Amino acid sequence: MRARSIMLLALLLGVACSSVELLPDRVRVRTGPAAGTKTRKVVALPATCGALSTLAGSPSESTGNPLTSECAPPDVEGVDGSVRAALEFQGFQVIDSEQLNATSRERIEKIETSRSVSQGVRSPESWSREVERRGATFVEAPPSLQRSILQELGADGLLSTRIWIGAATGLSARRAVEVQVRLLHVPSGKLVWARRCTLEVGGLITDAVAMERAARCATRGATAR
Amino acid sequence: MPRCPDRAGWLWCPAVRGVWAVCVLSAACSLSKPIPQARVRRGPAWTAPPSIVLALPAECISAQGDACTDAHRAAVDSAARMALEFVGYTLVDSQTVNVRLGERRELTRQTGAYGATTEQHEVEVKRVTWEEATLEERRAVIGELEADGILASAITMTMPDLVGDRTIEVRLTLSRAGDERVVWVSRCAVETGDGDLSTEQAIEHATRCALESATLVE
Repeated sequence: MRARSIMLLALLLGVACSSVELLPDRVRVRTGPAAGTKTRKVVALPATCGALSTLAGSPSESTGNPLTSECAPPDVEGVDGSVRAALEFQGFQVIDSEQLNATSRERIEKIETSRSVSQGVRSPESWSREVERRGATFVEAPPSLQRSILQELGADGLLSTRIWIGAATGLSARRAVEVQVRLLHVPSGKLVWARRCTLEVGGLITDAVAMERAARCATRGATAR
Repeated sequence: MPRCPDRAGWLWCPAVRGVWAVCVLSAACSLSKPIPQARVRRGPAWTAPPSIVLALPAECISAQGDACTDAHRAAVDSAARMALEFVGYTLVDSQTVNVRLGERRELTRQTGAYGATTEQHEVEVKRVTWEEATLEERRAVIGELEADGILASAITMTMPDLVGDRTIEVRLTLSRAGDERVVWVSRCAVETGDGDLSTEQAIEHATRCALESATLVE
């Protein structure tokens, strides 16, 4: 009888706890003054990220406060890949700014193989290959050079992505994750569109998964003209 | 010391009276946190807002050395730039602007032995950005970018009080690049504390509050 009462009380408390439910995904789109202009060939800049989600159980040595995680570069690259793939599928011709050389890059390739023979028995071959590339890409170029590269390329759009992860709340580390994708018309420098998706995540969903989901949600419906 | 009677009247015996006094006094103290309030001030350049804005990295003012981290600054930067971009400003991150041509060195090392392969990738970038530039170079960059506005943001953290509460304020200032006249300043303070809002939650609330107030008055 007592066990049943406790279970009923626990159930009532659980039902009363409304914070278990996460908010639905929100997409906001803003069309700019260059919305009607042709933008097909787009140079995509690397995404930037800011995060306030805390790493549970790893307090700072000096203050005892939990450490704030920073966005992991592979996660940010994952968002870049997801946004670019989605836009390519929608008809854009996306050029990765990291692969766009501002100057010709020098490539040095070194290959080494070694094999030892002892008492007439040959050991399996071991090898190493080192590739070094030096130079500057679009990302390392000053604004004037970037402008001339875009002109030379005939690019009519510049794509930028921003990621934001809010502070974690409660035991389930409930937090907001936002991805915003913006397309600028290169010749006029005006906004074509900005699309933002906000997700609320918690529990076992990692920042990387949430970022990727938000990126897909933000690019949904963005079509090339 | 008078002894308390066993049953009737024990509530008002001297020992219990002391407890009552403490209860009444502590009830009079307000333990609730003040509601965050944003303050927005329009500046002399309000009527001529900029369109291309160079966003400077957030600065942190804290009496306690390591209270404010790079991640806090990056999060405020990201949220502020995202929101302002969405309302129509063209934002340029000062951290990504190169004053001169930089250099990237990529090194990929692969090794194989006994049928197993390992791969290592290393990237080294040498750049001179806004933060490393001289005043003259900064002026030249603003001209090159055709930026007519500057966005500055700051996080202020007070020293924690006896119970660990501290006030966190986020301030955003948009000014014109040419004459440095203020377009608007928005600030919002949120109080943090043990068992209540964490530092990160307070930063998030203060940033959102300062931003919404700034973008709503547009």
